[in-house]
Order: sequence, then C-alpha cells, then structure tokens
Amino acid sequence: MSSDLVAEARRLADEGDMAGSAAVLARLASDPSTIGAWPAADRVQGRLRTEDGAAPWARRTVRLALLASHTSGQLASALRVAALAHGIALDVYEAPYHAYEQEIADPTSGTYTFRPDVVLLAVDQREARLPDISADPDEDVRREVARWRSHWGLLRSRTAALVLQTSFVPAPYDALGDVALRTPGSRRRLLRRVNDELAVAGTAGTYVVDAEAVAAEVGADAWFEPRYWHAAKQNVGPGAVPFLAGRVLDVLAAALGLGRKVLVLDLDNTLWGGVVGEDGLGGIVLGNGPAGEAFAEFQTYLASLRRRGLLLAVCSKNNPADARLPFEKHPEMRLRLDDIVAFEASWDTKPEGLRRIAKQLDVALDALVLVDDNPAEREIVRQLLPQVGVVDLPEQPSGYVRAVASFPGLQSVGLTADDGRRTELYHARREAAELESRAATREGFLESLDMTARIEPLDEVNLPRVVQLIAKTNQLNLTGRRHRSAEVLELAGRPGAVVWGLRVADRFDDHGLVGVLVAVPEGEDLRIDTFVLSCRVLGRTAERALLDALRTWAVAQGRTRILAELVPTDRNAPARPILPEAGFRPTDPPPGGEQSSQWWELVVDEQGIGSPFVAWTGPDEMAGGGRPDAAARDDEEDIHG
Amino acid sequence: MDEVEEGVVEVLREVFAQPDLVVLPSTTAGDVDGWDSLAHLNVLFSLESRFGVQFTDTEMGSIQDVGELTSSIRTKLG
Repeated sequence: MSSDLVAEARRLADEGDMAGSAAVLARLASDPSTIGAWPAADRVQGRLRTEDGAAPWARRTVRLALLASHTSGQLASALRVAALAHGIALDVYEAPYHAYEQEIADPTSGTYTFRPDVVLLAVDQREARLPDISADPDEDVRREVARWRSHWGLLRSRTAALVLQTSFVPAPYDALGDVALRTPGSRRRLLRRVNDELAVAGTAGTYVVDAEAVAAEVGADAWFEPRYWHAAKQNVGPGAVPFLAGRVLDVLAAALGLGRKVLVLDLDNTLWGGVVGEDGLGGIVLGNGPAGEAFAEFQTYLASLRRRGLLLAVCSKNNPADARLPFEKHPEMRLRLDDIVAFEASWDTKPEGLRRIAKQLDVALDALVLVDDNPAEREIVRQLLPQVGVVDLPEQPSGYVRAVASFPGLQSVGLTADDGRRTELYHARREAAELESRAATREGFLESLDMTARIEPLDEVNLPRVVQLIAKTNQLNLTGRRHRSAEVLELAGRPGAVVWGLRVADRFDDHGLVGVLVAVPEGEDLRIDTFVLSCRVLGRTAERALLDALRTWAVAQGRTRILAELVPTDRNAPARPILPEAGFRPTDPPPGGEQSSQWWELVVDEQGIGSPFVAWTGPDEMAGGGRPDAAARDDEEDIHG
Repeated sequence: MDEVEEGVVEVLREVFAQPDLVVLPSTTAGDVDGWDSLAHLNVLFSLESRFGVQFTDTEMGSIQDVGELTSSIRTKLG
C-alpha cells in the first residue's frame, strides 16, 4: 500500500498538483510503519516547491536546524516526511557530524546563519557526561542539566527559535542490570533524573521529546541496532527513526499551534459494536465480552482526551433519536452527551456533517480529525475534505486506542487550567446562543448576560495560556504575530509596555482567559503589537472592555495616542471591524511601520471607547464599562469634544 | 531473474524513487545517482526488512555492488 501511495504522490507531482501530492504523502506520513517508503516519499516531497522554494500547499513552512550527536541524514529525511502529516513544509539544516557544541557556541555557525524557527538537539545518551557509577549523583546530575540548560539559553538568546531536545534513552544492557534500579549513582538512574529535570526545566519555548517512550514502543532491539551503529554511527536504529521523527513533529506542531482540536466520532462500530438503529439498545456490544470491553476502554480513553482539552463531536448516519439513545440509556456508556460539543446525526453525507460541525464550533476544517470504522466514509472524506485528519482505524476495536493515540496532531505541549474545562465552555456558549435567538434585540441579549471582565497583567500562572492563545488564534487576531514565551516575557519587561490577559465571565459561565493584548510605547504613542480574542467570546463586545481599559491606562500614563495595526490574513476577516467599532480612525503608517498594514489611531483625549455591556476591572484599580444606559462613548465625546 | 533479484531491483527502485532504474549484478553505488552513504543505509535496511535477513557485521561495511547484495541474501535464505 505504501509504495502505491508514493506512486500516486509522484503522479500528482508530475501533473503539477502539489497540494494533492502533499495530501497523499501526509497519509503515508501519518503511519510510521510505512517506513520502507519514506526515503522515496522524501524525494517526492522535495519536488513540491515552487521555483523560489515556497510551498503554497503548506499550513506553515518551518526551518529546522538539526543538531545531532551522530549520523543525522536519515533523521533529517524522516523529519521532512513526518512534517507532511501536519501540513508543514520543513526545511532542514543538518549541522556537521558531532559538532553540536561548536555550532551552539560559535555565533557565526551554520545553525545561526540558517535562521531557524526550531532547533532540534538529537543527542545520544553516549554524549551525556555521566559516569557508569557516580560517587556524587546529585552533583553529576546538576552539572549535566546545567550544561544543557546553558546550551538552550545560548540558542534562545541568539535566535527566535523553539528548542527541542530528545530525552536520553539508557542503554538496555549494562553491567549493573537490575541492581542499577537501587543504586543511586548508576548511569541509568542518572540519565532518568537528567531527563526528568530537563523536561520540567523547559518552560519558555523549550521542549523535551520523550525518546524513551519511542524506544519502548519500537523495542530495544530496533532502537539500539548495534550493526548500524558500528557501520555508520547511526545511534538510533533505522527502523526506529521514523517513529522518533513522528514524535518530534507532534511536539513541534503543538508548540506551533498546529495541533488538531476536535475528534469527530462515528457511532456504530466505532463507539460500540453493532448498529443501534437495527440491533436496538440491548443489541449493541458494549462493556461485556472482550469486544465490548474494548469499546468501553476506547470510550474511557476518549473521555480522558476530552479532559485534556480536545473537543469531542459526533457525526453519524443515524436517526437522531437512535443515535442519542445509548448516551441516554445504556449503562455501559463511558461517554455522556455532556462530553460531546456537537452532535450531528442525520442521513447526510459525512463531509456535509463535518462542515456543519466546523461551522458550529467555529473552527477550520483542519482542526478536525475523523474517527470512523468505515473505510468508504474515510475515503470520501479524504477525497472531498483533504484538510480533515482521518484515522485509519484497524478492524479490531482493541486496536482503536493505539490508532488514535498515535495519530499526528493530537499532542498538547502543556496543560492549562482551561483545557480541562473547554467542553463546558462550549456548552455554555451554545446555551447563550439559544438565549440570543430568543432575545428581542442584540442589545437586550448582551445586557441580559451580565458580563464582567477582569484584565490582568502577565504572570507566571497565565503565561502558558497567553502564549497558547497567541499561537492558536486565527480569526480574532489583529496582527497575526506569533510571539512565544520568551518574546512575550521580553515585551512585558519593556518599560511602559503592557501585556494583559482578559478574563470574561457571564451569568452562565466563566469563559476563562480569552484575550491577550500587547502594547508597547513608541514616542508619545502606545502601539498595539498584538491583540487576540478567542472565538468563544465572539460578538460579546469583550474587545471593547480590553480597549477601554487600554485607553484608561494610556490616559493615566500621559500617552497622547493609541496606534493600532491590522495585518490582513486569510483568516482574520472577523477581526477587521474591531478597531472602527471601538472608535479608531484610519491614519498613516508611522515612521518605520509596515506599509501594507492598515493603521488606525485613537487620540485618547478626544475619543472615548466605552464598554457598555461588559463591566471591567483592571490593574492599578482601574475599572469601567458596564453602563449600557450611559452610552459611555458618546458621553465622553461630549465632555472632551 | 529469480525472486531475490526481482526483490532487490524493486527495493532499489523504491529507495531511489526511480521506477525505471536499470540494475545489473555489476551495478555499484557509483553507478546510481543519489547512492550515497545515507542511501546505502536505506538500501541495507530495506533489503533486510523485505527479505527478513540480517547482513553480517562485515557485510555492513563491505558490500559494494548489487551482485554481492543478491548473493548474500540468497545464501542467507538458504
């Protein structure tokens, strides 16, 4: 099958259909067991570029500097292929053999001139400066962790790149054997301690990739292939490399905000055995017997993904009442209707159902992953909606968990408190939408929500969520800038700059941290560098609270003008009314400002903003908004105008 | 050509992504565009996977031409 896919991708490339070819290769790249075809897939992907090297089919082009301790050619090739599963076009720079330390130290090295978006340190455990048995384990671990942290620090200070490092995999055969487990100074224990400490040391844009989990998955014999080590200094066995590359890309895609967001589940023979519409509630296989247990365990796994922040939706060809019946009545169901944010049961085609789900949840099609036991449905979705991820479920339900767990794009780089509550938030939004349809006027509806906002400066608690919002928000995003942790911290540290998070609640729910504003002083002006708002609060005028607070702050700081910039992207049309609706007026680009952006200004003494429907509190005991009758903006215009 | 020869040719065509690659027993790495040390690893690994054999430690570094690859595999298959 895999060589057929390569042939198909080659044929499409020959016809000039780069997007089609990339989609076929993406399917191959989603399954590392197709490894035999990866070298050929890499050659085909090399042709999917325009004359100037661009990849118009890609969601993102990413420059990765590969700093490996040993032979890196196969890993570089596998990374390029694995990237296709995420719609990423990957340009790889391979540092010279065993030169990772020189490359990091020398500011003129190839790594720096390459200007990477990502630096991957793929370093073998042989490189860890740890003895076989340590007399002073704490000190040896501390020194090794410090060595890597200082490498990371240098890379982070000299580039804007994310830094990824693969964890150390202890050698399977050592003289101590199981005695190593209870010998504090054994190399195996030291390596695991170093891994653990590096993993938690990596906060601001640095991530450890769990290579030990990959080694466990492929087995020690495939990971440590001594013949390839002796023949070619290939430190990871050739059969394990694609699995490692897949894991690296999963972490990277999540860090870049390219992860999938919604698992769309079929029902019959996916969540339970049999067909509920024919077999009836008592006839479906769930919870009893080996197959029933497998379906139940699959549901338990899906529920845990939901708690981690993935959304679950249902898309089933069924009568709606039949489709809901097991959720309502079957005692062995692990998933409840509460777990499902969008429930599409009808006799329409799957592509239609998927489109409706994307629309209802206000996400792009490439945020969806279909989980369906029916190969024909999977194929039609691949054909008609190539953006949607499609899991190739195996025939047996006992294999479902593994198939979903290993599907690219379902990793998360970090948990934020909001992740676990995301499903609740979507439900609350739907209830609010239902209320809206009943309210007589939009103003009446907004007023009835009793919305409040809290604006808070950046701190270590909200940093992960702030960075996540900046990375993931496409629509309500004025500039599309993707600052990472270190850049956000740097901006927050500038004198006179603000990095604020916006929390919004209404009488139905606490929406959590849903907005980020970054503004920096420039002369007398305050310039909005970044303004993002989650679609959860689209249409709620929450942006007005944030801008109103910024104006209040600007007045207090003696700034004369707020300058804002709209950088139009493919996706941010919904953001375009934000500035004019808040009272900003078109202006010319400032000196050195991007000419292609649309520039807007607000002269703070002359123009108010107001937040009639959202009462807000902010830093320095600032407060405002929430006075719909007073129509704050007109008032202030009268006063100042 | 027997099954082993056919399999070797198929693997080489796949690794080098050249469906029309012409391979003779005397073909060496130098004759094939792109047969560098990385490709050599891929060739060895793909042949091992395809035929379920393992080249010896010495062969990992010594095999230079297609004829040797084929005869080594044939010997291992018995």
